[in-house]
Amino acid sequence: MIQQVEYDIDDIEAFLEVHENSEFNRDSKTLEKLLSVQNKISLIANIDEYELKAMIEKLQFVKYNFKDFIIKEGDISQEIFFILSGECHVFVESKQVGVLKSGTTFGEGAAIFNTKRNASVVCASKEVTVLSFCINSENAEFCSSAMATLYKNLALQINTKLEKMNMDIIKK
Amino acid sequence: MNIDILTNDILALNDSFFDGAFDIVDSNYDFIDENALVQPKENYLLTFDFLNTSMNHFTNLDFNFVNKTLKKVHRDVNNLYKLHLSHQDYLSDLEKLFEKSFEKKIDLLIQMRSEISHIQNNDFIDAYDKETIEIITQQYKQLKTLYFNLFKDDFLYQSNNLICSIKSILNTKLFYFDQLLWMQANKSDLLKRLFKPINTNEDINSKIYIKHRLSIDLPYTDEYRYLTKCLRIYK
Repeated sequence: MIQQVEYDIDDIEAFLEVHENSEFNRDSKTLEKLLSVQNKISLIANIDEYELKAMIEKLQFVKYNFKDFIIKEGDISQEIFFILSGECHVFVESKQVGVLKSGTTFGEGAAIFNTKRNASVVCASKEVTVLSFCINSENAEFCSSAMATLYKNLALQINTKLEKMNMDIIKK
Repeated sequence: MNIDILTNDILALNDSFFDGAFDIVDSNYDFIDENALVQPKENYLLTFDFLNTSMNHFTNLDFNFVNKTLKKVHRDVNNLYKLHLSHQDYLSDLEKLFEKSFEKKIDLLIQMRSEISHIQNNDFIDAYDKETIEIITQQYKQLKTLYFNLFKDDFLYQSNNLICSIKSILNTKLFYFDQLLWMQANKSDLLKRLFKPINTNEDINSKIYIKHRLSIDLPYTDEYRYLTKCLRIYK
């Protein structure tokens, strides 16, 4: 039988120093921030915390300056964005088609269905802060109830957008 | 034959066989929980050889670079790795393991063997004795098979539990070993000379070091393939 290694207080401090500096810890702090605003992000609202932790990856806060492209039409990328502050403009073939304000999610369609970006999103205020994240497709396979909630949220979002468009057409 | 008695015999023997290893697992889990250590999603087990070789290589170049904690973690991961390998080895030939470590400890089988040897030790063995030996030998074989099947089920269950636990502990410890190794290596002036051709302002870590190794190693060698797999873990 193997002899166990005994760690003393100095060793534990060294372990904790690693922990503090590790990418893992930075990720988990960002994840905690995401969980604190989870229900404000309609796409991931009501998803079980543990399943969400398993599904989400490459979570980061990003700042963009005026006229910066956040996504470009035709690009293939997996990020989903949630605007924390600022305003963005949406362009399709260089024509402005919409405005995205803080609290809005965008990029989810291309990320989930793995298609090209169908519009460009450009920073329209002096500064825009977004929370960007990807869905880990391997882990998502094992989070069926979370994926069901995610698709339901996505359907609700699309429905809301369609209703808004209908109202706009009626008004015109 | 009461199957419960046989089952209890096997459970007791398996428990005593795994006892020490599960004690190690429990104390390691306590250590991880008490100190809220990271349990990474990535499977660091694959990096064991890379980290171990790097550690030995760096120690040969500058044995002063190893501090007390790194030395302990190195010993710890090696011990756990050996424990995990030894338990995986047991699974390769369960019959041999049963005969070597269990058969001789089962009271009923001991009794039957002693009965046979008692008869065989007689100066004169008649036809009746021969028949008795044959009957007991037959019963012994049947009972051994019964015991072996009970042993196999419980052993596989306990063994899988144990191996999974050791792997998860080892994964955590390897993560810290990796980080501590590079924390110390980046402090060593002698090792900095080794890293000079890497030509980066950043601190060297496994990812940077493997990328450098891949840039100078010959492709299609086993080492190249292995390092490529390791690199995926540090994506």
